[in-house]
Amino acid sequence: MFDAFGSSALLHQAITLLCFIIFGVALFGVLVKKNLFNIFLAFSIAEAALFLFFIGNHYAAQLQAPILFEGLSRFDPAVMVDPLPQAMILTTIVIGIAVLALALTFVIRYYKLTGHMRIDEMDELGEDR
Amino acid sequence: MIPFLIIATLLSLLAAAVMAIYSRDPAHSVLSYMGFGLGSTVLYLLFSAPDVALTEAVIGAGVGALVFVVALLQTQNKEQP
Amino acid sequence: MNLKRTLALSHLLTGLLVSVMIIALLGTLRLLTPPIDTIGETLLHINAQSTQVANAVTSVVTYFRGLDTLGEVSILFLSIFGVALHMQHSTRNLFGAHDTLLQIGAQVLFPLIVLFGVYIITHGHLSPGGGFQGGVIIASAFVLRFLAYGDHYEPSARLLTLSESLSGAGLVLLGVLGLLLGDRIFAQILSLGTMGTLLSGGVIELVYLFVGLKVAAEMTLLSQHFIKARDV
Repeated sequence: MFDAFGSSALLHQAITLLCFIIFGVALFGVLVKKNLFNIFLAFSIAEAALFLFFIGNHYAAQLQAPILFEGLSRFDPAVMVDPLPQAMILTTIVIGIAVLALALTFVIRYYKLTGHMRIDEMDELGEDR
Repeated sequence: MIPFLIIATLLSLLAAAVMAIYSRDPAHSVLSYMGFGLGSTVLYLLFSAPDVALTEAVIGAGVGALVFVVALLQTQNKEQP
Repeated sequence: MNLKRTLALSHLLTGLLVSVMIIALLGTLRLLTPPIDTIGETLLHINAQSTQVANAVTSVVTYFRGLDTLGEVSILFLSIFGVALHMQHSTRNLFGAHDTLLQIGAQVLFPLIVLFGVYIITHGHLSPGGGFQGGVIIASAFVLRFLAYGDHYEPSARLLTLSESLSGAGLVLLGVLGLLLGDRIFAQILSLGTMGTLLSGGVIELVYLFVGLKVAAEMTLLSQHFIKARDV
């Protein structure tokens, strides 16, 4: 029974499906939530789902991390995962948290200026007045 | 065995994401978001990407939690949104 | 009416032209680039000869894609700059804790956490870890001090600014030196050493050292501005 996901194609399909369900849930949250705090939290979760999709699709069963230690003596693509997506996602996580901090700074400033942070009560452009 | 762990962790991540986004209480949202970060750290380890797992653990426990908690504290003084 | 129709026609034409250009560009890129699945294998193959670094992710981040890391660090700098512009910081701490036990614990733990961060940075080419992770760990030591000391702790602003600007300048200088002395940006201009020792990898270790310093200073600034925010 444990070999049902032994073929990596099936595993990749399951990972892709679940990651895009998480992404869709988060995107729906971005669209329907009215609180700016929840909207940026949903943005962050959608981002994390994309990272998981990116790394998960480069994993196959019994592949090891691309790091040499006592048991391994040389870099071999047959037993190691691809280092390129890992390097890209590693930098992207750090960028993501910095940009999220900037967005939350704007949210805090908006709250301090107006006293609320619901997007259906925003009337600064003067359309409802 | 490991593929089943991956699928189970992804399912729990889905639950954590739903709880984080659709919860009415912002404090529950932040706590579920931290749980999401912890689960994705485990998942990166299962994907044999220890560098990314270390980054996610450090960011999720250090700066990410701090940023959200401070935003929560700063926007809850006057009224309940 | 005539003007409206002309405008609509010109919009339609522009949209068509832009989509044709995008499709042509994508087609050319697809023809020019090798299949994406073989890039990682090639990187793994040439990693052992050209870098002598035991962690392939580190060599990809700092050596093969060094320009990316430079751009990433500048995005980090820009967003921290925006945070610092919009959260004017005061001396008042959001978490006004004055607990003696917490302060003594922070005093004991602070050097240990900083030491652990430095270890993670300097062993980034031998084991999992590197500049980004170690930098954030060092910043978390400062966050512990902010939480424990309340209003009575303020890191030296001159030290933070100095370490941040010096590490940024050092990173750019390394890139330009690689361009001048070698054949590309962040080219290998130092001796490689032997794989598995602490002083191996040449430029790679220096790049991660600078990145770690910069990330540590920036994340400390970020948490300082978030914790010590002024009520408007």
